Formats: sequence, structure tokens, C-alpha cells
Amino acid sequence: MEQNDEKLSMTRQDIEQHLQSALAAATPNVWPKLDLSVPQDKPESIPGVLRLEKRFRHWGAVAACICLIAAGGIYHYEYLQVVSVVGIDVNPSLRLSLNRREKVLKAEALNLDGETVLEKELKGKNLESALGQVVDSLVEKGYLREGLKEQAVLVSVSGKNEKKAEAVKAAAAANVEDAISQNQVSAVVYDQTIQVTKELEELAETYQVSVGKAGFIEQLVQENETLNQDARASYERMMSQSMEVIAQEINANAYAVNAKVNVIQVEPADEKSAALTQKDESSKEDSGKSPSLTENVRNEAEGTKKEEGKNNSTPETRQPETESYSDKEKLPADKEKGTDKEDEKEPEKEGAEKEDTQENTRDKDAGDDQVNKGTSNGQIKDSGKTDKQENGQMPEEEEFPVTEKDEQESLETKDLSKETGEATSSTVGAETESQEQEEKEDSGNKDSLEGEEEDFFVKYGQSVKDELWLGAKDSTDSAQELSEGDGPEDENTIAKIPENEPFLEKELEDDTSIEDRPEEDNSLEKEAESETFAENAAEGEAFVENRPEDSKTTAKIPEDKDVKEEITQSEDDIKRIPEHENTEGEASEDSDMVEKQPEGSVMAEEPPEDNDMAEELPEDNAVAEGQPEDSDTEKEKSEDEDAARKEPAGDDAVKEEFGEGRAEETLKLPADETVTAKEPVPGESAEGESGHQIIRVKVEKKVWKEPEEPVYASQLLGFSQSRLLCKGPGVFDFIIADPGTKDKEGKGPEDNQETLESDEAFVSEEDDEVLFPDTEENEETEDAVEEWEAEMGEWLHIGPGYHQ
Amino acid sequence: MVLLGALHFPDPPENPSSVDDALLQQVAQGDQDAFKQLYQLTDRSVYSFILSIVKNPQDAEEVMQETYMKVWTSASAYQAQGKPLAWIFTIARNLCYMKFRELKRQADIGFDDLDGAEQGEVCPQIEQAADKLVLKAALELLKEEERQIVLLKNSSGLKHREIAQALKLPLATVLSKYNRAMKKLEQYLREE
Repeated sequence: MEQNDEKLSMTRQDIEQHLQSALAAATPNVWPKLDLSVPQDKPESIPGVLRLEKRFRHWGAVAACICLIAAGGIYHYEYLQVVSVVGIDVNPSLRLSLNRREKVLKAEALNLDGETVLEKELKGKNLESALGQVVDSLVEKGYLREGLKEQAVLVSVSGKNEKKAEAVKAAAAANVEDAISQNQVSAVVYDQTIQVTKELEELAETYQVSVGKAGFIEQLVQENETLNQDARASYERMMSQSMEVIAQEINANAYAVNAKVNVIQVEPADEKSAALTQKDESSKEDSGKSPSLTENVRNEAEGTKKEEGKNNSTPETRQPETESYSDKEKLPADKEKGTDKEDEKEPEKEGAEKEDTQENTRDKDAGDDQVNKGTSNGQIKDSGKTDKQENGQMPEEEEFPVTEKDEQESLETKDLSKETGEATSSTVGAETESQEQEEKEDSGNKDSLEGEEEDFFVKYGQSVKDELWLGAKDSTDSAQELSEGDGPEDENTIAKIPENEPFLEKELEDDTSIEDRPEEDNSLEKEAESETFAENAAEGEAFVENRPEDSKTTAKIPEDKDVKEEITQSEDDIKRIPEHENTEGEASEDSDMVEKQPEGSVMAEEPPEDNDMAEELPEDNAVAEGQPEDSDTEKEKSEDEDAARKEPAGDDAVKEEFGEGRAEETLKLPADETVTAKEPVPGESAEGESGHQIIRVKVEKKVWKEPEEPVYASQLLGFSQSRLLCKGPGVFDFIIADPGTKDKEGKGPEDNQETLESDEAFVSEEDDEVLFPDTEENEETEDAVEEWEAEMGEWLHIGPGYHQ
Repeated sequence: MVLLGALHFPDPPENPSSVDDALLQQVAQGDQDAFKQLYQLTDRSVYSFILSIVKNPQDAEEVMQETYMKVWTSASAYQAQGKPLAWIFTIARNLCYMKFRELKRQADIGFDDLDGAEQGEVCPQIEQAADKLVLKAALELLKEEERQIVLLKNSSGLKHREIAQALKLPLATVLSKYNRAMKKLEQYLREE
């Protein structure tokens, strides 16, 4: 009941109070049961820290990536990016890619020669050491040689940044010059900066040369009218030439070089000083003989300088050798300017100049010849030297006569060859003549070389000697190689070449003048002489010396001339030549000869091609005229003359080649026609009927891009380098004619006599017999000619193959 | 009456609403005095809330102990939002649910059985029968939310606004449900 009452009585407030009291009583005291020792969690702070770290980790990774990329970019920018490209052209072409720190990133060879030079690893080296190594390698491989002053190195730098390129160019040029001088080598350094354009790249690609060389030649052609007249021909001719040849041509023709191109003549300081001291000593030691020689040399040097000053408007830096070349070339240029008629009118002067040039060439080539003929050679050398130095100093007439004699001799030999066969015989005769000439030269060299060499050396200086020596070596090497491959004919030729060297040596030893000079000088001179001879032959400069030798042999020539005249008349080309010879036979006809030569394709080509050559030819003709008289008296001399003729023939061929190459400049006649007209047989001689033969040797050769190879071939054949320098790829014909035979007839019988006398002294009958046994008898001569032809053909064929 | 008054309000119940974020932060830093103050302010409210869910004074006591231990250890995890009581109730609710899972695992006994078994034992510490009767009626008649509101309202003197804030319910809902719940109790107790 109480509950019900309570229930009924319970109001809302009662309920709330009961609930409150009940909950208050029911609520347990849990506090004592709580274990506050339990550590409290601190989750909030920890996860926050972790999040921050993670964020930093992400950012750190990103920053690290950025740093790596930046570092990589900087490294690439500084070290891996090709900023500038340095091109080096001698004949070997190299390309060095440099980074911003001027270290080599990549070294490439642009031709086969370049690969031989690039044997050592250049990557990673700095510019200085890399260029030093390249130059060392160039010297080691023989692309740059001691004693040769006409060598040229083209240093071209290209880069996006012009300032940087200029700086690199300056550094590269300085390094190259230092390296060259330290290697005791003299060379002309052309350094340029080029902007590589698509056109330039295409030009370089079409001619397979480096961009730097293409740019250099392009500028050269554009800035010189003579070259620009037929730009394409100029390109085709010059692109395949080595820088050495191009430099020679620049100096010779006084081409204007782009103002941006620095031309620096580098010469071995040590050698210069040493050479000067040696010369002084030698001059002092030499009693009376040497002093004159030294004086001559000095005179020559002065003369060359003077001539250069007169003739050359070419760049400032030119070596003395280059000067001589330039003079020669200039002379041809002058000749070109002057018409043939003018030449005829003033045969003596022009002839003298021509002769001088020829003589110079001959002297170089003929270094060997000189050796053969002491007195005559000496005269010739003197004349050549004097010509180079001062036309007025040395009696030009004397030189001419010598050349004339040589020409006559060559004509005679040619006549002999003509006897053997008409057209072919003429070619054969030319070959035989060349061989004979070589033989004669060799023999004569033995006798006369000594004195001549000495004189020559004295005149030209050691450098020339060195050059001659080198050339002789080359010739001997090539000859030996040819002989190995070829039959007995080759052996003959080979034998001739080696003979020349011994002669040189003997001469050097025997020559009192040499003795007078210090021993070292003598040896150097000997070597230099042989080298110079070879070089001269190669260059075509040496003809002068050869001619003198030829002049000695002139006595034989007249006989040969008769035979030759008969033979050659049958063939047109031959006829032309014989006509010239006939005219040459007439003293007054020399001018006619010159004229006729232009008429005859070959003849015409020759005079225009190289003034020197043309001059030489007329001179030789004159000699030939003089020779016939002398020839009777001096058979020995005639043998020498034959040898000389052979050489002149080489000159003619050279001329023709030049004409082809420089058709614009010198050759009016279509050289190609003449060449084509002639038989493709490796060696053919189309000789004039009279003693004045133009021996035309047609050689099928593949193009030589390397200068040395043509030199070898030329030496073997008795040609000058310039002649054999390759025009372009494929087979090309060149004619070897005896300049001596073609040269002026009337100029110098007297001179011829003098030369003959000197020749006689040097040339012995035995040598003649040995060298030209067949020439004495017509039948024998015919056989000999045939053999010669075969030999020559083999030689010619071998030469290119060997070079290849 | 004075005694009754003293019994009813032996500890003049401090309003649990006085519990603020600062007190919890002190607890989070390991201040046991602050934690004891927190306990004294909230023990009735927490127990009432737990009991309204569990409806068993024994389990409610266990859950209450676990709840305060959880508050002690996890005080640092509290993010100050001005509702510390709601945070504590959330912990208590989660622990109640965990308690239910344990009970279901441990025995097949149903809730109803438990209720019956517990009836005689309900709140043995409650001496007055009227209090027991009213409390039992409230736990049996009222729905869960109504129990929570009624018990919270009568346990610690929380205002409807504070109850609504703690239970995350609208104030109107709390008021309506409280009135409805009180009418139910009045009707039940009159019938009884």
C-alpha cells in the first residue's frame, strides 16, 4: 500500500529526485582502481614530426635530382660540349673537337694520311699537347721534313662563338708554330677562323677535303681573278693538292690571301742559328773555292729577296725557298703576260729569265745532273742561282746556251728514239732519252756532281741541299720499288737513280769545296743536294741543272736529232715537235719554235703552262742548235744532253700537266686533246724531227692525293713534282717533253760551247757508252728505244700502283 | 531533510561542464591532480552514460574504469574543440560496444537473461527501494537515447543544452525526449 501511495504520490520532481539519489548512490568510486602509473600516449606530437620528415624527404629527393641535373648540365656545358673545332691540313687532314676548357673531346682523321698521323690517342689532352703530338707525328711520318721550307700547314678553327674561336685559333697557331720550330722543321702556317656554312660543307664534301681547306681554297679562288676565272677548274685542281703545293702556287703567283688568314713563316730556330754558324765556319775554312760559293749563295739569297720584293705582292711571310718558287712561278706568269712573240723578240732576256727559272728547277732536279757535270753544272748552277738572285748578275746567255745544249741533246736522244719507231718510237725515244738522261746524269753526276753540288749548295744553302737529298732518297726508293716490280728496263732506271745518290756522295766527298766546308755541312749539303735534285725534278725547278748536263751531251744529240727528225715527221704531234726542233736548228728560228710550239697542242701548251718551262724549252732549243756544232766535237756532252733532254721532256710533261691543271693560266692549247690524241700507252715520246724533241710521255695514273707519291713518280720518270701532281681521280695522261730541245736555238751556241766544255770535262766517254750504248747506232738505238718504252711503260704503271 | 539533503548532495556536484580543454591538456601533460579533478567532476555523468548503455551496474563499473584509464593515457590525443565531455562519452560508448562484443563471445546468454539476472542485484548499494524502483523503471522502460538523456539530466545536474552538446543531439530533441521519457516514468510509476 505504501508503495502504491508512493507511486501515486510520485510526481515528476519525485522521480527526478529518486533518480538522482539512486545514480549518486550507484556511482562507484573507480578512482582507486585507476593505475595512473601507466604511461600516457603522446601520439599527436610524434606523427606530426614524422609527417614533417617525410615532407623533407620528398623535398630532399627533388632537390637532389635538381642538383644532379644542374651538375650534369654544367659538366656537359664545360666539358662535353664541342665549342670549337680545330682543323689541321698538311696533306693529312685532322679535326680536333675541343670543349670549353680546350681539351680534345674527339680527334678525327679526314683522310688516310690523317689516320696514320692519329696513331696516338689525343682524347682528353689539352690543345697544346695534342697539337704538339700531331706535329711530332707529322714530322715522324715524313709529312713535314727538315730542310724543306715550302711546307705549309693550314690551321683552321671554327666555332659558334667567334671570340672563342679567335682565341682558340691564336692558341692553336702558336702551339703549332712552336711544335714545328721545336722539330727543327720550317713551314708556312696559315691560320684562319672559318664560319662553317652549308655551302662550305657541301664544297668540302664534294672534293673530299676538310672544311678548313675548302674554305681556304674558296677564299683564295674568290679573291684572285686568275683563279676565279674558272673557279671550278681551280677548285678541282687545288682541292686535291697538298697544302705544300698550294702554298707554292700562292707564293709563285702572288695570290692574295684572305686578310683574315694569318700567314706565319716558321723556321727552326736551332737550325737557322746552326746553319748560319756552320756556313760561316765553312766559308772561313774553305780557302778560295768556298768563299766564292758562299758569296754566290748570299748573292742568291739577296737576289731572291730582291726578286720577291719586286715580283711578289704575296703575303708578308715567305720563305726563301718559297721565294725562289715564287720567282719561278712569277717568271712564268710574266711570260704568260708577255706573248710568245715577245719572248721571241727578246729571247735572250726572256730566255734568260726562263732559263733562270728553268735552271733553278733544273738545279733542283738536276742536282743529280750537276753532279754529273762539274763545270757545266757549276755554270748552270751559278746561272740558276744568279737567275734566282739577280738576273743581271749571272750571264743569262751562258745559262741559255747550257739549256740549249741540253735541249739539243735531248733532241738528239729523241731523234734516236724516233729512229726506232715513228710515233711510238718517238714516245719510246722519249722514254729512252729520259732513261739515257738519267743514266747520263748518273754517270755525269759522279764526275761533275761534286763540283756542281758544292756550287749549288753554296748558292742555295743547306735547305736546298736537304730538299735535294730528300728528293733523291724518294726517287731512289721509288725506283727500287719500280725496278723490283718491273723488268730489266726498270732496273736500268733504278740503277740510274741509285747512281745519282752515290755520285752525290762522292762528289760531296771529293769536292774540295765540300771539303772546305765543315764535315757536317758537307754531309748535310750532300744530302741536301740529292734532296734538292729530287725535289727540283719533282717541282720542275731542277731542270736547269739537268739542262746543263744535257748541254754537255749535246754532241750526241745532233745525231739523234737527225734520226728523230725523220721519224717524227710522220706523226703530226711528232711533226710539230720536230718542226720546232728544225726551227730550233736555225738560230733565228728559235722564235719560230716558240711560235710553233703554241701551234702544236703540246708545244703551245708548254709555253703557256709554265713560263719557266716554256722558257726552258726555247733555251734548250737554242742549246740544241748550238749543240749540233758542239755536238760533233763533244759526243760525251751529247750523252749528257740526252739525259738533259729526258729531264726536259719531263719538264714538258710537267708543263702539259700544269697546262691541264692551270689550263686557264698558261695553256692555250687544249692539253687534253694532245693527251688524248696520243696513245694511252704509259710512256710515249712525240719528239720533233730535228734535235729538238718534245718527249711526250703519257702515263696512265690514278690520282694521287698525296704529294709525296707524285714526287716519287716524278723522280723515277725524271719529272718534276709539279708535273705529276695529280689533277683528279682517274687516269690522266701527261706528256714528257725535253724542254732543252724545244728551247731557243740561236741564243747561245757560244754559251753552249762553254757548257759543253765544262760538260766534257765531267762527262767521260765510258759513261756515255754505258749510258747510251744504243744511241750511237741507229738500229741499236731503236731497240733501246723500244726497251725504254717498255720500261717506261712499266715504270709508269708501277709508279701509280706503288703509290696507291 | 537536512540529512537527506546531505546524502543526496554529499559532494556538492560540481558541474561537469566546468571541465574544459585546459584541464585535459594538463592531464595530457601527466598532471594527476588535474586528472583527479577531472574524475570528480565527471564520474557521475560518465557512469550514468555508461549505465544507460550497458544497463548493468557491474559492467558499467568496468567500462567506467576502462574509460578513465583510456582518458588518462590518451589525453594527449584530444584535439581541443571545446567539448571534452563529448570526447569522454565517445570513448565510453566505444568501450561499451567492445564490452558487448566480449559478452557475446563469452556466453550465449542473452541480454534479456542478463537483465533478469541483474534485476535483483541492480544497484545493491542503493539503500532506498524507491530509488531502486525508479532507476530500474528508467532502465527498463526507456529507450537508449531517452535513458542517456534522463540519467545525464539527473546524475550531475547537466542542463539540456549541455546534454545536447555532449550527446551531439539537437537541444529540441533532448528536451522532447526528456519530457516524453519523464511522462513514461510517471505513467509507469502511477500504474505500479
